[in-house]
Amino acid sequence: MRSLWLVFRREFSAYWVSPVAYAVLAVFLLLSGIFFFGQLSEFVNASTQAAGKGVDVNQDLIRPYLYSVSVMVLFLLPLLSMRLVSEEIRQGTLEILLTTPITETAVIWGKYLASVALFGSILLGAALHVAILFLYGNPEWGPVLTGFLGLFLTGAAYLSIGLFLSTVTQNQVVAGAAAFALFLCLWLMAWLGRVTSGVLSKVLTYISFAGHFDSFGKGLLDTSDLVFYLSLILLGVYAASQSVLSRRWRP
Amino acid sequence: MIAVRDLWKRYAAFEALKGITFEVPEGMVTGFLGPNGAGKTTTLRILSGFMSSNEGSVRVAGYEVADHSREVRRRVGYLPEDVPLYRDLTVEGFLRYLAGLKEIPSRRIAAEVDRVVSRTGLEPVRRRLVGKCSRGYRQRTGLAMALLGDPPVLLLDEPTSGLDPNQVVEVRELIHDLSGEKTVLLSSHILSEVAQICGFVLIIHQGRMVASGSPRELAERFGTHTQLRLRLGSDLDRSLLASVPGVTGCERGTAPGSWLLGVEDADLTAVRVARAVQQAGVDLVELRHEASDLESVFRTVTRGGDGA
Repeated sequence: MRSLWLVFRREFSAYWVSPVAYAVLAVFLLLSGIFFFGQLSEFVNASTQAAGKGVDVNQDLIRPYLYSVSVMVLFLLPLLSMRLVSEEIRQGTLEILLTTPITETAVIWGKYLASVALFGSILLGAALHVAILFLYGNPEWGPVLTGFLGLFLTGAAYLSIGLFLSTVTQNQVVAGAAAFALFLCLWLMAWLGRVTSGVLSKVLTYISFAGHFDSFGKGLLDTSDLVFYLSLILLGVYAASQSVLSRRWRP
Repeated sequence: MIAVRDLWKRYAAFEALKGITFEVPEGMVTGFLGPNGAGKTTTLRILSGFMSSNEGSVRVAGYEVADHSREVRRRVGYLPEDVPLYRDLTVEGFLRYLAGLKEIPSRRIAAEVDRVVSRTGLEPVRRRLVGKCSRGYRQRTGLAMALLGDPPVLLLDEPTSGLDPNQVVEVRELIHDLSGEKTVLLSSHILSEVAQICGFVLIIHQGRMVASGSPRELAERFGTHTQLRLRLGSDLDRSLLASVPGVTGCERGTAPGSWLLGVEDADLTAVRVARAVQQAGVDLVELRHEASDLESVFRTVTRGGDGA
């Protein structure tokens, strides 16, 4: 447990020593700011035209905003996950790490939680935007909280997949590009689910991130969505630690 | 302290280790010699618990590596080849991080880092980023890392490679100081280095153990007595050279006036031979050692496709 904490602390501070954290944070704040401003302006226009009737701040502003944030993290999270293990493989430092008494599981969880913590700090930026709405209006708390929970779980699941991909190559760019491609595929499954039929459609819809995220955005806290994300996270982290373990067999 | 029995390692179709067996004596610096690609790094990676073997038994510090990898890792200080380090940390930050991972209690970390920093002479750079340090200091940082937690066994993979001559001398002295205190296994392809600092030598070639023993034992066993090559200005009676103390064999070379002498104590005998030649009134044109002991052993045992 102590070594997990040491790896976590080291990885989290490594993000802030290198420009990675600042760059991702800056890009995120810029883009989410643009989205927020655009969606807020549209909402105000619609609200003025309808004289406040039939428009709902949760439904017509916060939900689409969180949806656009969820698309943005699709692009940004590969930047957080790609170097986690691949950099250690490339530099050869995995060898010093794995010849200390630490277990592979502690290494992987430490790294994973560090990336999730950074993602959490990034989400605080989005929370700031939504907080503005609470200053000037009276949105419902429930859907906001479930929306953020959905966003957080989506990101955490992406990161576990990205982490696994960074254990299979020593090239950060390859790990990042593969992660991005896979995230995008998982996102697009819902669309494929709509154009197919039968069991295939059901399977595609189930593994799509968009579908699960959507119910969080509506304010629904469904166990099946929670199970989906949590099992994906555990699967990704498990695969990553097995992949590191398998390096003990390779030259 | 280290006992390896019938160890095999295969990488896909390539057999890196073909059933090697050896023991490393306790409290000594043992040299692990072999040409590049002989299997030295693979062996050290298995001993350190980094890599798994296919077959065989490896006991380090009383534990079987395959079954008790973590127990072994708690007792081994390992310096990997090419000294991989976290370049974005300071020397001190790096050592503190590794001290934590090596399960040194938090309250003792500062003192332990101080100890290894002073032992390896890292004081001038302790607050510098590892990536900004010279090769020599990085190598020492690696050694300091291996010494953290005072492990009884040290595995050092080519600890002097890439250093300038002064740094080589410093690192060798540091390792030499560890003998008697720790069991050190040091891989190298530099023979003179091993001859200088190791009390015991293992020679590996193409995944097989080809020789082991003290440098002197090896020289005796492989019958490669040191030879002196001699060239004289004029001819000389054979019995005169053969009667010099320390000369064990005496042969005429192909060129006129040239001789090949088998000798015991090369340096002392060379002086005696020179004196005898001079007393006989003959000019000494050339007198040289043919090869150092370990070097000829190494050449003998690692020659050809199958060195065994």
